[in-house]
Amino acid sequence: MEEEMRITILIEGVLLLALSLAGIAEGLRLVIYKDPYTLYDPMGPGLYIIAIGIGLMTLSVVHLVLHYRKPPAMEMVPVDRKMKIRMMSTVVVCTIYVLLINLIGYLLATILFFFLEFRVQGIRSWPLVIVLSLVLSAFYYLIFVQYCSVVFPRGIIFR
Amino acid sequence: MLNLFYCFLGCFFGTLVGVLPGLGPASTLSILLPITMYLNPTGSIIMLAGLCYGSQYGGSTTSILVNIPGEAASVATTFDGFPMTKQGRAGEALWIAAVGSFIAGTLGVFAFSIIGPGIAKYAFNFGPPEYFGILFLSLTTLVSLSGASIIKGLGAGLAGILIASIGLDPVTGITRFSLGITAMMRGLDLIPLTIGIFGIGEILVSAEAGIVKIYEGKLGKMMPRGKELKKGLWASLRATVLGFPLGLLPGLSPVVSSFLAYDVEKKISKYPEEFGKGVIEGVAAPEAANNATSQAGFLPLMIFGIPTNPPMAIILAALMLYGLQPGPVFFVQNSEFVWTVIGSMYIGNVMLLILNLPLVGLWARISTIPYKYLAPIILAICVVGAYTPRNTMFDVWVALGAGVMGYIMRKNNWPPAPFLVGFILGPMVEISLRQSLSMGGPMIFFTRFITVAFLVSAVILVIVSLKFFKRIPQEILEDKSDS
Repeated sequence: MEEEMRITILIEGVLLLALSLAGIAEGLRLVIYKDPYTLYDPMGPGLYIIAIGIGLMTLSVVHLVLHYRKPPAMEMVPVDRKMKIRMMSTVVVCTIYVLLINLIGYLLATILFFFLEFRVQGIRSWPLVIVLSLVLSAFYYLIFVQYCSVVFPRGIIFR
Repeated sequence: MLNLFYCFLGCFFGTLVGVLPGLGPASTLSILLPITMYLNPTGSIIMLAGLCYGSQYGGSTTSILVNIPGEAASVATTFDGFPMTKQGRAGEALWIAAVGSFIAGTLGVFAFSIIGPGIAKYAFNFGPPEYFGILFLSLTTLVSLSGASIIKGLGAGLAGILIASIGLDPVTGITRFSLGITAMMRGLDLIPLTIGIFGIGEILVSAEAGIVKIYEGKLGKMMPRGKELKKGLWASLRATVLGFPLGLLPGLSPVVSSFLAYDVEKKISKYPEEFGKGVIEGVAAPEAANNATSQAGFLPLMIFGIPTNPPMAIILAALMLYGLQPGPVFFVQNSEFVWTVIGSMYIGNVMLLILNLPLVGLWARISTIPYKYLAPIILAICVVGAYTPRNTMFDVWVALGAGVMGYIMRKNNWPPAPFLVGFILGPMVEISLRQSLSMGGPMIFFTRFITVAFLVSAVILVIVSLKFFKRIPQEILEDKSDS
């Protein structure tokens, strides 16, 4: 358990360090670059980011030093494998949904999303899943696309 | 009579859209602006104003019931609203949110119509150093929102500030962190991030935890009684007093005032360790503050033409479209228009109370729907909510990424709220800081009384918060961080 916590802290610290270094690097680039159109800006667009980056770097180092040696006691709630798969499947279905909106348009992608997600969430009745997917998609389409005039991608297939 | 109808329509649709996660006041106003152009100028502005404060009312509903803020100003409401729902007190939370909003809205309009131009004169004297001072003071909320680990809270806050700097530099227009990608040049929008971290993140955690319903048991009574009622009403009044003056200052959106009000309530409370676990003041204060701030925003808009937040900017655009130029003489030249709009605000707040209180039960019943039905419905709304502010699929990807990040943060005891506070306040702090330095170098912060007062207050608040946190048992802080 403690080893797991250590690895987590290490990953957290490294990610924060990477973010802070990216901030400092971008800040330095902007300090070196002089915009010919800016008349007077003593701080410039880079110094603020550098300051925040240094602050974040300090915090990530403190986090690593303080917590890596002696990880804080955390209550680990055991997760059912089935539920973990459900959570990951939800992420996958959402990713497919967003990809499909671009590909086949909002309406068809939404029907497919509801169909897959209701199954992932554990609704076993096929007729219920089909009816819910069709009715909800039609409802969303009417409200957002027809009434609110939200312009979604039509999908490259149907262009 | 027709204006009353427009007022009702504005309030009704505002509440309805505010209930939908992601569709906050700004996106609602921008979507419906073309429709209101078919009305007369007075009717149009009355409807837009109704939409504006109606969505503020409605935004609290999803925050309380499903832990998804309808708009950014309702983020603070989730801290105690959702725990109240889990305890079976959703009815009480929704009731106090509606009544608190009504108190703040009505008192806000009253103050607006009474003190009007007089108070705005003082707000007009606020320069960038004063704004920097007050924003710096707002940043102290990072400490109190940190939960078990202040290092994690501050880390999340600073990460939020860094992420907020993606896109065009607000002063010079130079691109930062854009990596040559056009979508990145526009920066990340607040709404997709909020939807992702709070909405999608929460659904992923719930999916993993195998939650069957949002909460088991009865909905509980609607109207709080006795001490609970008294505590909620007093918190609403205090937050109104805090939120209204903040609404007069450009740049301080209802988001800031809701966080500040929550923080103030926590600091003055006799049981601060209970905040985040479902206390009524934690719902009443942010709701009242964001409504008071939202209402107060009409004052600088009409007197100086200064939009204090995005919804006000859209109302300003609507005024311009009708050829109405807000400014110091606006009250004199268009007095009939101005007082009709102010009158409609009084009536609108009563309408919203009537609309919200009987409907409280209806909204609360949403939480009895099994989660397996609710989760896909919310996820699909999250996608629409993330897409609509800027009509770009890039924002939907951002929401999805933020959702995964929100899930990881929750699982590893990283508080998500400081990240969002950093993201909201970071750019405002930068602008006021750079403008102040351009005005008179670093010494300007020490030569202006109001700025010094704000900065000293911020330092005192941080010290008090740190001492206060030491007194709270670690396990309680870990619980807070989780929520």
